[in-house]
Amino acid sequence: MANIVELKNIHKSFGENHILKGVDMNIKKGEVVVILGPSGSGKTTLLRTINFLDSADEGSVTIHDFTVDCKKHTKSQVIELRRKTAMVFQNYNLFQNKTILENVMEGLVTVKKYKKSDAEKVSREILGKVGLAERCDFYPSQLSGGQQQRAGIARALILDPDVILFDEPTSALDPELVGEVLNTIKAVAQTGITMIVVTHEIAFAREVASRVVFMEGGVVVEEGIPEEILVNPKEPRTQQFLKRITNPNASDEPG
Amino acid sequence: MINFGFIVQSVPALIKAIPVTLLMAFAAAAAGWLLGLGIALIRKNKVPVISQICAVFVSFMRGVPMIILLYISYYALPVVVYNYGMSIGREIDLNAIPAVLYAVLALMLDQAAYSSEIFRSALSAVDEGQMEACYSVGMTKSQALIRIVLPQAMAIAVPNLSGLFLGLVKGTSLAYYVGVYEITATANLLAMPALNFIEAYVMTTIIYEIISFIFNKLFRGCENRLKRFRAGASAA
Repeated sequence: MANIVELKNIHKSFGENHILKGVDMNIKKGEVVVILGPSGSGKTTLLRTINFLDSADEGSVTIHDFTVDCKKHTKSQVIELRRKTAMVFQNYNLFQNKTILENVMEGLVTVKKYKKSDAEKVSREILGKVGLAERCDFYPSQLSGGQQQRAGIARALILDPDVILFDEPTSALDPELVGEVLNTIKAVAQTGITMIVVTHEIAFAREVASRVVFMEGGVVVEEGIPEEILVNPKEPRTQQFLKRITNPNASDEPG
Repeated sequence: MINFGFIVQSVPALIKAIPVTLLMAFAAAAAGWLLGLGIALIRKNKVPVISQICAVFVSFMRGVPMIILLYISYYALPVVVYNYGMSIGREIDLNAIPAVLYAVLALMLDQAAYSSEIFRSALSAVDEGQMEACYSVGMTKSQALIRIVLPQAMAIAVPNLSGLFLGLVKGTSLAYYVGVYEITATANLLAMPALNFIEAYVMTTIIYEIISFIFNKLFRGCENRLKRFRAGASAA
């Protein structure tokens, strides 16, 4: 099957700081790719270069046969590429001045030029699916973090993108709210939509991922099916990371 | 002694002058704030060259006393206009241009400079994530600005704009010096023959206070409407 997302030789620096050092990635339709790695490894930056929220310095991004060169691109190319993607943010980033329903409708109405009544109908349906049917007319500031994030997922889903990018979707949540959001993401994964998820939730990765990618220092260190990477990692750096994350009290440096 | 007869006599004339004051304020605010928003957007987006020009303009306008600005507008500008008219072979009748226009021009430029800083800080106060979310659903920059960022920035800007507007209403009294008969000028004119200055200024004060009170309420109402979306927001 053809790749739906192709990243070629992605390089990105912020000033002196070389964050991404040549990342290649090919993702097939329907794959759920979970990116793991210590903080500062460039996983969030990689995600943001896919929809050009951060524009990579070198390389190219291809989504559904549409390629954009990171070095040389026009505004309209970037917009077209973005319209093939959707993103779920760590801090939800719901439109604060819009109700939950309007948040979900926004992309349909402004970008996809739906009629308002049609947009409202499908938006209410999808909000029902993420369990927010009763919260349609609330503003984001009136909802819990978990509810806001589920609305964020609905806002991404409704656009029917080729790929949804999840940027640490549960990292800003109170611990007791993580479960409801992960369950929603799991349900989305089962619909067969292509997803790239940056997360620290190992258990979630094991359960949902069709492929796990481990990044460190701006490169992909190791990738494979979750059973391989999470249970029997070959690379020492992956082993260390998993040890640290599953047993936070263990220190890898002696003394 | 307070001359109550004078007060009763001059009230109608003062009330007639209120629209002149308000008209100047409205015109200067409407045009000035639009210009100010434009300047704020240009500077926020760091448009090359124009952005620097705007920065110099704002700095200059904030440094020059309002009264000097009025004098420049009233005494110097007509000369420029006249000379320009002659250079294209047309004699412009400067008397046909009412003084109030020069006053509004000066007030407008002043408002543009001050409001641009208010808009700029309000735009910066809107979370970056809002813009990113707009981009993530495929919106263009102008769609994002108009539909998401500006409405939120306005809610932040209104309290400061309210203060700016009240300052402007009082600032219109300086137009007296270029011969515009608004409230202050009218009061002075009425007071002069019998030296009823105390009475005239007491009345003037009361009128300005009432205007301020009303507009303060209006802006407060506007603010509450605009920040409706923050209703029920937690303390965090």
